[in-house]
Amino acid sequence: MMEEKNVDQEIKASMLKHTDTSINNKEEIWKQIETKLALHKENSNTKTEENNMNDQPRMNRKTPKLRKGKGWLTGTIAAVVLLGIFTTATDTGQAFVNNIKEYFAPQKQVVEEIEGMPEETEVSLQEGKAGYIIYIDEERYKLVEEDGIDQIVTKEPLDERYPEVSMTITQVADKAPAELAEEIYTKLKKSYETVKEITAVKDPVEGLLVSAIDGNQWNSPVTNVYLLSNEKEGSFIIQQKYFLEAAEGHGARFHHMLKEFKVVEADEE
Amino acid sequence: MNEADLINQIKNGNNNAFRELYDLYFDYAIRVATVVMHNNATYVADAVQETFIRVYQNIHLYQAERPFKPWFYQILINECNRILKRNSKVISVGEIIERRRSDLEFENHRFVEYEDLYTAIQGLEQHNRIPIILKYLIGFKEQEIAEILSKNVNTIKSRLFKGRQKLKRFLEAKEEAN
Repeated sequence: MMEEKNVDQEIKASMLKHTDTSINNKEEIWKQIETKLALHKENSNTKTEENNMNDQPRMNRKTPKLRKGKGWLTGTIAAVVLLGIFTTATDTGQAFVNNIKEYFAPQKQVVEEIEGMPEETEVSLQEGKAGYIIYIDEERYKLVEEDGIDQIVTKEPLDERYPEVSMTITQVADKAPAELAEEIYTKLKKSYETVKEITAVKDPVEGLLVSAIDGNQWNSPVTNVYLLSNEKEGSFIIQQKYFLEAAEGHGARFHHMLKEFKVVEADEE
Repeated sequence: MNEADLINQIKNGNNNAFRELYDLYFDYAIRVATVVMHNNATYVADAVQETFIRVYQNIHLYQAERPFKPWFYQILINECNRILKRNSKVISVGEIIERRRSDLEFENHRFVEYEDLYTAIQGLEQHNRIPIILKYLIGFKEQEIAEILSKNVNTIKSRLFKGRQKLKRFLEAKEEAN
């Protein structure tokens, strides 16, 4: 019988011996890293300059508008949305949304507190299929439709080492938020380590929240599921997914986007 | 400068500190990548290079209260897996053994005595092999390996045990033959 210690030593020695030559590439690899990182920097600098110099409408619009007083802008938009909802109840959903779009530009400026730094972003009015409107930070996210479900995902796909980052919006026609919350709570219990009790919330939307987290590592998956009335017999289910490290990044952005979520009278004739 | 200071300096954009980190981590990073990626020099260089680039670009995501080393190796292993997946049709175990045999004819004699064991390590299934590499090459504890690979610690214990048993049986058989 071989001694246990010898087995361990031989395994280690074998791996060391077979990797001795690979360390010779150290400087060569460093040069590649340096070049690539320098290139990244150069690229981003060039991009900024180009944006400043050329007529890039998004960038050009951004600065002066924001300096002028975003509070006024945001207030006006909120008022228009409310007015729209109460006065156009007889329009079809499509027409209604188009109508709103005519009243104010589909893009507006918001300032979000992301990871401690105020960030200026442009968000766009997106017309979801389920009778709601939401503003999407189009610089970072896009709305995709998969199997009839609307999902807000990052514009650039995330590296596979990151858990899923998304905000999914679905509508259930015949179940109330409380009933769905129970179902979701039970479901999450099966796959997440910690599931918090169902709570009523007013921010970012008024409804019920079931939140869960699976572990306490940087990449532990986090989910927040908001259940709110569709102002008829059913509910909207809005599920945010991100990971612990991204709570103040993607998490905060989803929160802000969701603040602008509005149910519209899509089926009214 | 200790490691925590070094990371702070990198977070503050100090490129010299990044080079210091490279000096500290390169040696074992490339050894791990070499074993994980079956000594394919091109893949190994890509994985190590990408790892350091990712570390540099995502250093703000690293939380200082946690140990840096597992965070670093998690990135490295993911990079290796990504590259292996991208080139997944390439390497089969048969090819590895064949390559190792042909290497033998050219390589220095000092490799010979470990040759068979190394082939046995390379022949382990990936899910047993990576924990073995992290434990024996770097000296990570089971809990740390579990965190790096995002697996339950008991799963890792079992994989380490199975992998090591196979290597032990191999060594014993070899000893008997001699």
